Amino acid sequence: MIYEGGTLLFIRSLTFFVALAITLIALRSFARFRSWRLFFLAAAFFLLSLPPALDFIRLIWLPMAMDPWALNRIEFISYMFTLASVVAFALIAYVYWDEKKTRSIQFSRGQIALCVLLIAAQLSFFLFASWWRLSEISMPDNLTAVLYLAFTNVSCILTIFIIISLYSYYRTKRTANTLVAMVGFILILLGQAYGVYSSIAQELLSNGFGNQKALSFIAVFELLGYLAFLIALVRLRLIK
Amino acid sequence: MSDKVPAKYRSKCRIFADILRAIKDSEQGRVTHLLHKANLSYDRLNYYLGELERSGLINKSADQERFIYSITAKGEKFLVEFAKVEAFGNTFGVEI
Repeated sequence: MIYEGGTLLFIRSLTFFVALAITLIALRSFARFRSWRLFFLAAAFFLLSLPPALDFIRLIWLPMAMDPWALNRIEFISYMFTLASVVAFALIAYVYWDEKKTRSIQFSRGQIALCVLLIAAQLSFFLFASWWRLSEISMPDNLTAVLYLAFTNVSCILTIFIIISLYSYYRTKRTANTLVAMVGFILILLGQAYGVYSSIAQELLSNGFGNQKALSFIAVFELLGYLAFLIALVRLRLIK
Repeated sequence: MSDKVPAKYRSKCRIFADILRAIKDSEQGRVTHLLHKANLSYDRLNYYLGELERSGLINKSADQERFIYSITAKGEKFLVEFAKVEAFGNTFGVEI
């Protein structure tokens, strides 16, 4: 299993460094030309680097993971950082929404329809899953679970919007790197979606989907997503 | 409802880069050529040329009662940096 032996933490640490590298490149670009869009992009990647950063700290300080007191705090910080990811995706989505003014992103009717359909499907699933969760076991635990589910669902919805915006941008500009970045976001979305759906499938069907397995899947797909971003930046020779 | 398409927004940095590219591409760097290439009005172009000159990105010289503009080493560096940032922005769907 990936989770055993700290392999998952190692993957998360790699993700942290890749996210940090992208943050620094975005910050450097912002420092050069003071574009608030680049600042938002840098801020978003910084926020996205926080959850893997927590795992990186756990990797270099493994005894902390054994202490129940520390574990409670890690869980709390983990929730906060999941919320930070939502803010990050919201920042990127806002940049694309604003980018429509420059006419470099223009949605066709088909793209709008696809976006609405996917978001509606995701929202319906969230409502169903929340109802399922809230009607089960003890309230405080379930409320936390529903909140966590809400964060990941909002992330999924924002990522769907980001992917369709990037596709629209790619259709206008035809740059291969945009396509690579889009693949990166698709991989991140796949990881998020698997995390959300598999945990519910586990409860509904008791089919042996493990939480650790879901975590491993999310971590690997997230890393692959960030690596796609990195490949795009290497292709631009921004990282030598 | 009007069918008029709104003009594409250009940031100050992009206008600077467009003017610098126009100067670099033109052999003589005359205002008429720059007006056409940078897609600006005469007043706006003069305003931006003044700013570029003050920043040390271009040089201004006179030739037979006409002004000629040339790009400086600092201007060349600006263009290289701008191209990098522009490529980064394009990767993530952001216009600079």
